[in-house]
Amino acid sequence: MKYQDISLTWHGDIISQSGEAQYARAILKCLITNGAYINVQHLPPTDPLADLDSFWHKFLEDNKVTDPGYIKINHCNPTQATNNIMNGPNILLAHWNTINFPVSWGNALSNGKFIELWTSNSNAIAPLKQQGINMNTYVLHYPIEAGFANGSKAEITNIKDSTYVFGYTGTYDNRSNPSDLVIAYCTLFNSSNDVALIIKCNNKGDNPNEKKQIIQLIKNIKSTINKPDYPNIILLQDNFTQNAMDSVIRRIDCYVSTSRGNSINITAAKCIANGASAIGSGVGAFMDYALALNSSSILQTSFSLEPVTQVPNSNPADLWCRTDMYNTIAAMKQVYDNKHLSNKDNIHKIESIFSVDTICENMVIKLRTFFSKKITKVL
Amino acid sequence: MTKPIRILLVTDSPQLHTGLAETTRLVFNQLLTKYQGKYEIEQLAWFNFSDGPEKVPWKLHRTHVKMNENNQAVPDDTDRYGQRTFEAVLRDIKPDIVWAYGDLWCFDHILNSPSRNTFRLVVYYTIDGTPYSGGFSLPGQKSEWGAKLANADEIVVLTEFGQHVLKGSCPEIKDKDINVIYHPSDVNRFPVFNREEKLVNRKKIYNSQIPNDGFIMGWIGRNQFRKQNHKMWEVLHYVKHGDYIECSTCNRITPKEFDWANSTSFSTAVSIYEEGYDYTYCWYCNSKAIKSGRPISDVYLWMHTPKTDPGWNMDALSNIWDVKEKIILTGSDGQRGLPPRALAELVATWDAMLYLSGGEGFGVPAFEAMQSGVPIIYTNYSSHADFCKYGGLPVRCTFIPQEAHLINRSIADTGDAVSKVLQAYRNPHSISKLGLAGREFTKSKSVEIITDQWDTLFTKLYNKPLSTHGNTKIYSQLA
Repeated sequence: MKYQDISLTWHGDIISQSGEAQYARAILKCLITNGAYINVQHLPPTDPLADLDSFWHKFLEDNKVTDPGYIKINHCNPTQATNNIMNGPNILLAHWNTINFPVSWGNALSNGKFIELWTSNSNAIAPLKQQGINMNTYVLHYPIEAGFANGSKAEITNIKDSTYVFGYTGTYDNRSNPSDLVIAYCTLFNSSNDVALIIKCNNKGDNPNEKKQIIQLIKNIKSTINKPDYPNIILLQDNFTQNAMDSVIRRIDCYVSTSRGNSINITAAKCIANGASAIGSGVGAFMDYALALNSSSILQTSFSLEPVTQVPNSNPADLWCRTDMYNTIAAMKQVYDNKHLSNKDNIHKIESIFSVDTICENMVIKLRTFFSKKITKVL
Repeated sequence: MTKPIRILLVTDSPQLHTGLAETTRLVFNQLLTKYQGKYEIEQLAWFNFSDGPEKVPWKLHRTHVKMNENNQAVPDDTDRYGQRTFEAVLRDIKPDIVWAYGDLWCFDHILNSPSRNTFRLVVYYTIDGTPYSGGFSLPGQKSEWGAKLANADEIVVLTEFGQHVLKGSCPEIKDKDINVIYHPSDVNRFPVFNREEKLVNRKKIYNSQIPNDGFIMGWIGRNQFRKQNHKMWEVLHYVKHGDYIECSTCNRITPKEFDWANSTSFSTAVSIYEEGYDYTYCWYCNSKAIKSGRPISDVYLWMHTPKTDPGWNMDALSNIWDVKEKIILTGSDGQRGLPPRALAELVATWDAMLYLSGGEGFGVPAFEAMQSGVPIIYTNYSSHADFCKYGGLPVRCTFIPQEAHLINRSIADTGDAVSKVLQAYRNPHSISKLGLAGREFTKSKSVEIITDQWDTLFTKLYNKPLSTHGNTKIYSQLA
């Protein structure tokens, strides 16, 4: 019970299928099992609810009425956090997918209500000073579960055992930008290649027409490329539980993304932890993984910056990443040509550098600096 | 209380008089009655334009319709089998199991649904010929339809023939269990008449122009290429005119080749036998112990078939084969047929059923005739042959493949068909016993027994996790 001295209120969604909730559960589970006192202030989820295991059912049952913790981590956007400030120290733990700190969030930081700004990747920290945000910051990465690769692997229809599988997960919106990925993939491969690209897109509203949009998008892209034949593109469009999703991730041989921004990037982390190759742009947590692992099978693609419309709540003043198409094609070719090479070393590296124990231990060390201030103050 | 298993049926409206509708009514009425509280049923019903004659206790969802020039509702072809409606109904009902019944092209969109992982899928599949691999296949390696059917959790066919054909035609599902569950029998609905009772009931039912004491063969079914209906006129012609020779050595019938241009027989063969063959010996065994066929005037064929089918030209066939007065033609306007009880009584008055179909996914009319103890003279091919053998006389056949998918349709051997009709005509007692043996077989497929088979399958399937919830079998959509 090494974290019995930790007492905190966590304000956020911990019960849905969203990446943020999954991230929160990974961190909190480690704290709770090591004796930390956690009081959850729930933020209503906007994603479908996760299929929680007995650990979380018990925790949620026990946590119905509890006292607030000494420190509060607001795992939400600054506006939501500002409206729920607790007496005592408040930390803002936020994720943003833009290159800069979102312009519309700036004012919320200037009110002095947060003692620190935490986020999930070091790449997001650098632009803060240029934007005049001089807060203390801390990077809390998504913690990798040890032995992820030992779990069950999905048997996916339309994919043979021998097929080399590129995989991508995202949303329908322009941020995830599946169009560029489909163009790159269809340009590089054709039907004679034993390859498949899994596109796992999720739609929160479960609208059947929305599910047809991605098919239409792919049709349009193919008609634009105008090749005689195309490689297989496999669509998965349902809401999967985390276990089901993990089994899909274990079937991916190479994670690939042309997303305009992905701050936590749990899928990339899990793919690498499963021994897959990975291709992503040098933004978000992907950059941290690539730098830490320094592997020839973890490839960062170059990108330019651009404002983006058609992204929910986007602000024209924000800049997003635009992955270089030719660079993506070259990276996909490189991993495909080297598909026989093993990435087992990467499993060991990512599990040790970003392990649950390491991430949580560092977080607790950080939290204890606030507790020591409290104790000093009391004394 | 345990949560009921919610099943969405996708098939013909149960209000109609079709084979698919009949199966659906029988099975799910019984399922709801016997397993009260265990199941909740709703249906996306094909061709459900207006209230049909049969009522069921579950909710029916309609597909889109459009109005034709006569202001009648007709299927909107873009939603004929619920291609547009299915996803919305699925979202509203959130079924545990989807049960789709019909041909593959009727539920293709369900196999490839973008929401496929959110429900368990049972396809109940009619196999009406062989091979059953689709427009593209590399035998033993891949098939168009096997790749699609691999997206079903459970594949159920109606007969052992279907099981054999599907396993052989679709390598993608060769390791999958293919279940066989028959269309259920409902013997209490089907009266059995002895000869005297047949005569009494004929008097009651038949038009005065139809002789009550004749040998009445019946046919029920659609008028379409697959059914090869034309063969019945041909067989009736030879029976009526005796235009054949009968071998006393091998007992085979050699029909005289028909001159279609002159509506008479050639005296010597031109095309179907060796040129110049003059019918002075048996074509099969060369025996000279032959006798000429004898015209028979009291054999009739009652054809109960939809009058709206754009199939074989029935009037022209009657004229060409000179059997017009031997044909009794009744049938529905396409949607509403005789009430089930009335149809069962009509069938029971027949002496035999002439079922020379080119291919059946099951063959409900033949199965129902068997329940009335009526013997079946049937083409020995496809699903119906699996059960007709318990109560009928098989007819040899050759094949013609149907255009696009090359599924073979059987063509009954005319001589053998005539031989079997004569056998039935000449041996009323033994053929009647054969009919009763057929009825006994149908009892082994009673509604109660078949519904229990479905309950076992649904329960087993429901206990498996959904693909979205940890089942490692994931269904994907090929874009």
